[in-house]
Amino acid sequence: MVKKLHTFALQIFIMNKQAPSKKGNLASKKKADRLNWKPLGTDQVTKLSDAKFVRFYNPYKRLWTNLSLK
Amino acid sequence: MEVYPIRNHRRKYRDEQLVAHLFVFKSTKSKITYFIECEVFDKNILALKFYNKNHKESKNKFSFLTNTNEVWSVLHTCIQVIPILEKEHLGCSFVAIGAQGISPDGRQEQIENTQRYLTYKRILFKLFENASNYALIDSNEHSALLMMNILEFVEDEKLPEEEFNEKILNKYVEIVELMEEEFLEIHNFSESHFTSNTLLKMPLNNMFFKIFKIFRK
Repeated sequence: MVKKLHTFALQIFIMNKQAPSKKGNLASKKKADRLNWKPLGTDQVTKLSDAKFVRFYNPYKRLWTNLSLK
Repeated sequence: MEVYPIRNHRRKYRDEQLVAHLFVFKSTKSKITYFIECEVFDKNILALKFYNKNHKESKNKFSFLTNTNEVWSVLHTCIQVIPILEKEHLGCSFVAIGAQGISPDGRQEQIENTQRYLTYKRILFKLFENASNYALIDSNEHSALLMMNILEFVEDEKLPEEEFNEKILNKYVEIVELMEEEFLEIHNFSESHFTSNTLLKMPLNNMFFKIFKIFRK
């Protein structure tokens, strides 16, 4: 019974934490500092269909080609 | 680099129509279990996704960083599903979107050239550069990748280059229309991740099921 309760408590801990360890959280923060990440919602998402050109790799010619979409 | 075995190939149906393939693998290094989800779209398009099992309830599950330094092992493991899916969906194309990273203090990666996108591109280009049935299409601006199946165009060997490019362009436009919603869903973050108690936010029946599952063991 104690073992089951322990497992249950551990599961709740993992679910609340949503990250493997404190060390991981710190590493994520450091990475965000290093790469200059911005606060949530500051980056605007544009639609895929708004792109003006498309780039593809042609495996036969072995080169990248740009194609205009507009 | 270790490649982990994938197991539990399951199929998800909605209205008797196949909507996704699900796979599971466990990392022996970090002991994390990952889920691979291959969503099936119209026109034979498959979207490859993977996430940590512990984050499956979160809407931002594709954006968390695990910091376990096993990216190549995980990606090579995920790539293993491609031949399995190719057999089941002949002539299929694959889509992958490099989700923006998210830090615990509420900061997000920029949308262009995300780290995930750059690694996916590197691995796909390395493995499928010589595959004559796929044309790799990338979008640095949107951090999106498409492995378009071009077998149908290749059959006609005398096809002039201009016509070939036009066919690629037309197929691309069709795929983009289908993928637009999916793309926005991955790149738009949900604020709910930052509230502390996820268990309380979980639907009641789901929570009871979890408790029941633990006590049944």
